[in-house]
Amino acid sequence: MSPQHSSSPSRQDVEINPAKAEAKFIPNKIVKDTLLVASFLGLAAIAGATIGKADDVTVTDVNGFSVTLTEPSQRSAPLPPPLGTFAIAIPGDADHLVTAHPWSKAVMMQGSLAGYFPSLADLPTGAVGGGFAPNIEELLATDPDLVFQVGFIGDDVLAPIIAAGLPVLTINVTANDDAMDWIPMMGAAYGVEDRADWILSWRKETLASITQTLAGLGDEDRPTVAHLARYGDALRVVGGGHFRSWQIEAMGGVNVASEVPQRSAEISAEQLIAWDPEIILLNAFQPDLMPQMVYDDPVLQSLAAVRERRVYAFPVGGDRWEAPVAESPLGWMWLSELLHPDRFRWDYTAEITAAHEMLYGQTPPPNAIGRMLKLDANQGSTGYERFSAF
Amino acid sequence: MSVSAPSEAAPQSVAPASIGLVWARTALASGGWLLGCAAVAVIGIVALGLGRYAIEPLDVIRILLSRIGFIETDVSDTARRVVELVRAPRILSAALAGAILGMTGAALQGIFRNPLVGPQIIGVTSGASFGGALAILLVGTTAATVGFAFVFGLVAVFLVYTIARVGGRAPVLMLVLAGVVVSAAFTAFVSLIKYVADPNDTLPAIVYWLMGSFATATYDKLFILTLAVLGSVLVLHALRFRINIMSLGEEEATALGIRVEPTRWAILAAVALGVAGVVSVAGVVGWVGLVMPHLARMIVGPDHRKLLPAAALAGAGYLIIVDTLARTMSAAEIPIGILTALVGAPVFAVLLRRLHLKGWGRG
Repeated sequence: MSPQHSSSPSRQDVEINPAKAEAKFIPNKIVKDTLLVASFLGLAAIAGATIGKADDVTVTDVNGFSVTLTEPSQRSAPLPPPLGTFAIAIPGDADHLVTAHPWSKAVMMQGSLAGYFPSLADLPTGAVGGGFAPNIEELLATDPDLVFQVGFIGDDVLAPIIAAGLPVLTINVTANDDAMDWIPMMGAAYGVEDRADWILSWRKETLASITQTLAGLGDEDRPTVAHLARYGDALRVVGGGHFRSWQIEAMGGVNVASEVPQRSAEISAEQLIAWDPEIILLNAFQPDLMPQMVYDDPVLQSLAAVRERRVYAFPVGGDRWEAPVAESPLGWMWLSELLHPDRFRWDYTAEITAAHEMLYGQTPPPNAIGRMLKLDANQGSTGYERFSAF
Repeated sequence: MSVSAPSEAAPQSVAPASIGLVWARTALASGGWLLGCAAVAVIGIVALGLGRYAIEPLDVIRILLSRIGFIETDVSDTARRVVELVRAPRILSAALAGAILGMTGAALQGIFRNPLVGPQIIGVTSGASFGGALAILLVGTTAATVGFAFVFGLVAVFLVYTIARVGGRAPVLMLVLAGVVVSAAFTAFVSLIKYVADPNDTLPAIVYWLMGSFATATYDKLFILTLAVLGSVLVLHALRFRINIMSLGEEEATALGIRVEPTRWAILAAVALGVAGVVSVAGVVGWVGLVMPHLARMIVGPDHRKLLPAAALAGAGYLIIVDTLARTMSAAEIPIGILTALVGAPVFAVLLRRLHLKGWGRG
């Protein structure tokens, strides 16, 4: 089965004509949908042919843990926050997860997924607490047939799960796109390798096409960016040790805080002024954060990003686009266009609709696209009108 | 600097001395206080010239002078904002916090007659920590963090008071034990909050805040801190002589006509006010209230009329220096609690050795 990909960005060196962009994307989407249906039919045929063989499937993770499943996982417990929405996107429904991290549940309720899958409102979150520590009894009470857990913070968060006799697979989170490892692993565990292939291909193709469009970009053309991991009661930036830093660099920017080795670190306002980023990105973990708060901050008035009003709140679709999630390619489209409006012009209505239909089997309602892109919060920021042109 | 140290030089037992000698001693003592204040001021001004954003030291002076109206200057707006809105409130906050921590530490060591006592012993630190952590978890705004820390700091002291009070009075031992109990309870609540906090961003914010930092100092926070410190200092200063008598022991104080219970509670409330103010704007800053009173006692002796302002000056200067290190050593802030402990622990070890020789023996 050939995987289908999202459209590559429509590179335009001249003034954008919305009508032209529209005309260009609609056939694309029809082709995509047709291919999707065809691939599902093909999958159904193959699945029908293999039913009854009951071949055991062995899935191995990046840390060498492996589990052997007699049948695809039906009741998984994805404990690390980013895997909660992956456990919906990869099988394409909300029936494969029995619990999720509280932080993951929060974004399910905050973003699109609560509307798509109303049953998520009842999803229990007691199986995992702060510091990724599992609550074994709560976890056992959800009766999972497979547990996903982080593999990089020691045995203490894993040993109780293994001792309880639950099969467990682990993930790493580094300063790279680790989701490329998670997707095939979860696809194999759920018995939906072809869907996982598509999701992975969409991810790789989108990244490749952005990388290609950015080819030849000089250092002087890379805008400096600070991604604020917390603002208000504290000032934290994304340091060089995080996916979000890799993301800035991959989208043709420079993370001003790359010298900071941690995933995120507290800094003084003075340090931000010394870095003087051209663009400031606001995290979506604080749902009420708005660029206007930064514009109104008397201490930050002299920042280039404030003077030129280039502060942007990161969008939220099914999950937070800034994080390593199934919708990361949408976040990359958004960020690449934000950093290089002369090189990128994505059709968000088409891309988001196609992505949500593929990932969740749901069509976002018409007013949802603007809400995902945070048109209200970002409307006072330079150039954001291009995102509301659809 | 806004550290106001009472510069009276109360001469003691000078009855047979000539008037000239009294004058000379007064002048000498005043000179000492002036020197102390000047040292803190110099530390503050030097700190104002240091930071991650490079500003010429002369430009810092120009900005200060132009703000007072002495000169016109064309220093960049950015430099002006860094000095006036980032560094100045931060240095003033550190100075005030250091001063009140030193002063309250000295007062507590006096009334508990114990050199190992610091502000954390009466539960106020852990109560305020819980309040602040709760606010970060539930609300996430600065005003809430400050308000919650303040209220829960006072609640903790009230609980200590209620538990320790047996038959209308609260013996020192009961106070200390009640303080341990209340601190343990609030520490457990803080752990609970850390457990349920979002490990991605809220948890680091709470952990960082608990370690103590002046990184988000603003004039609004400085204002709150100033009110708390003023209230605390006024009470402690008014009771400085009674603290001397209380440090002789409960029976002696009663024999000398001091109403021990009300006096002790007035002092504890004043300490709670000051420390809750510090925790609410800067989180937990350990060791200053424990170490600085000892340093001050080595210089001016155990008389609280001198010891309280001396500990305040020492605390102010010390905390400005430590905070300057915290904000300049690397791009990422170093939590100030780590630095105060790293510096405080060995200093305290040395002081403890010396305590056998002087200071407490004279009390």
